[in-house]
Amino acid sequence: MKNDDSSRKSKPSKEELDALFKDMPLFDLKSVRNTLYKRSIRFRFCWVVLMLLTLSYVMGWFSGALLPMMASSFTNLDADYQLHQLRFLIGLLMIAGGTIAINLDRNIQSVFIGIFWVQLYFCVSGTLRLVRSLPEGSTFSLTTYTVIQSTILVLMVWLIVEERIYQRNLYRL
Amino acid sequence: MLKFAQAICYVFAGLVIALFTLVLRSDTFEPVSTSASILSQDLSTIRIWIVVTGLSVYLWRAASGQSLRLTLGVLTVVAWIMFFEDVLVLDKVLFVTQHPLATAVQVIRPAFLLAVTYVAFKQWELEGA
Repeated sequence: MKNDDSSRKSKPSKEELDALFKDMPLFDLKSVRNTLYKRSIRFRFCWVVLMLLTLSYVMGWFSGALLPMMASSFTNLDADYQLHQLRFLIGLLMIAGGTIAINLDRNIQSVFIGIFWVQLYFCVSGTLRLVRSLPEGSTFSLTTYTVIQSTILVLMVWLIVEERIYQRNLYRL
Repeated sequence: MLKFAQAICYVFAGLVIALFTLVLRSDTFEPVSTSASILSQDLSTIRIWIVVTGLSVYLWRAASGQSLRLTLGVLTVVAWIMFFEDVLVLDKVLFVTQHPLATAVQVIRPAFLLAVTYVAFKQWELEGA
């Protein structure tokens, strides 16, 4: 009985833990919502649209709606399908990285610039692959792919510009 | 150590440019199918441009005294992604050439990845100080 009491007493409270972790940047979570509310409405709009695009992409993938539009459907090459899966995973990791940066409110601009260049590599190589593998006359897949990828890239650039403006204003203050 | 890591990066970039130039100009290219051939040719072309552009931007920024940490960060991430693509997916598509230049690239690549990651972190640390 006595031992139980002492172990209960030695356990730090939530307030104590918060106070301990307060000065540690890694644990100083500000939450995505808090960070977004500090940013402009355009930044929030870009982030929300990017999340919606991701959600619709994941839904489209799991429902099988995206399958006929993929390069692997035209080439029947395993490498195309595996490449898509790998890039899908990297895309999710990039979203996780962006969300963590927003959550911590640190290095947002740098992280999104990195994500933008990787996305550009995916976009250029993916478009080129579709152009080279599509049968003649079926431009719907190519158009859809290009429009989605271009939208993502434009939103990323917009997000970076907005973050740059925010940081500049913060520095001036 | 930083100079040594930078030297590995320069050597690797030089070898890659030489190898891709050789691959794109020669007929000793044996992918498993026509579709695979197109895939590997396209990716090779994109990658050679990434290496050339990345190296040019890095050298230009270094020469003009501008910040390098973001450029290096982006190049490191892209280099790792291309490595994963090659190792996990494209090993069955791309041929393994017997040319000594290709062997040199394959051997130096892991060292390059470690070197470029080290240089990127070091640069971030130096510019942050």
